[in-house]
Amino acid sequence: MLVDFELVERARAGDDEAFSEIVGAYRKRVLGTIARLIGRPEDVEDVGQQVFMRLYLSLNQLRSPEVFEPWLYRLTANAAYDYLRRQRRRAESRLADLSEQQVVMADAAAGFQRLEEEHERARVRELVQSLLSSVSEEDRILLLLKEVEGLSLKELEKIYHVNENALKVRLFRARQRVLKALAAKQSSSAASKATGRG
Amino acid sequence: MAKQGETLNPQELERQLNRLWEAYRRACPDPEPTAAFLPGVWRLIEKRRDSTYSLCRWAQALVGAAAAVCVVLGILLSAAAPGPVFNRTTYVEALAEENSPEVQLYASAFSNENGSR
Repeated sequence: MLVDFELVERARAGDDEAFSEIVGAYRKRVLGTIARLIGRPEDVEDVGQQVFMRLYLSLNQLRSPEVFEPWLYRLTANAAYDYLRRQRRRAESRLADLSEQQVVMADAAAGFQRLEEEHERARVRELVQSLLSSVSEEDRILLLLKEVEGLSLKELEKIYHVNENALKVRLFRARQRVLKALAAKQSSSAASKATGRG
Repeated sequence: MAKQGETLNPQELERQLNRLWEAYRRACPDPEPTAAFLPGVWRLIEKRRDSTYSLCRWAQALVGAAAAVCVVLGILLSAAAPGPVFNRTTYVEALAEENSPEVQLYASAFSNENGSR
């Protein structure tokens, strides 16, 4: 825990200052998780603010301060899920222009070396995002919480209120789909290389 | 990452995916929140509070209006024309009315008329 139980209790009792302290302690971690869940750096703060707004409004539903962190993760996952669904509905041009935006931002900010690094990071983000488009938003979030955030099955169990076996099955299926997408990507890039050579 | 063009076995593909997760983590570091983050959170909370408050006021106004309509309808119904007579007499009253001298008189007159025919 980044804060003590007493602070959570105070915030739950309606102490706004205590709540601000909680935001201060957790905002970086929450924003990092959101950044990896949604893959769009420019929208991270907006989603993060939504998370803390939901936290404030739902603090009275928190059973005990001990479950505060899983509760916060749950709110984070839900906000990211809502964002991803909204994005899908808007059908924005996203993956293609994501890297472009990053490159433009980096270009303005720094020199060639940094631009190269940023370009590589954008390429990785783009690749992972395209692989994750082969699974549903729910599975995407679950998979990222496990594989990238490094949460254990026990922690995921507390967040999702689902038993470990069900989570394992879901994670296995989602991972298989991503692996299949990765294999397909590899074979298509191999084929295009071969065509280029020929 | 494996060289492109190679057909990967499942284990190698698994390893590659694990490496990709790590690279993705590095490619998405925890961003530094801006100074506007906390004020933005409070603004959102206030906005939500306001909308909840106005929703409550609307709901209260609607409940008040519904109660007023009920009262008016109740008054109108009670002031409307009285119901039929049989609703207002009790069983004992109806029985007494049936045995009243006037009814008896009509009944005997009727039976006499039938007997003379």
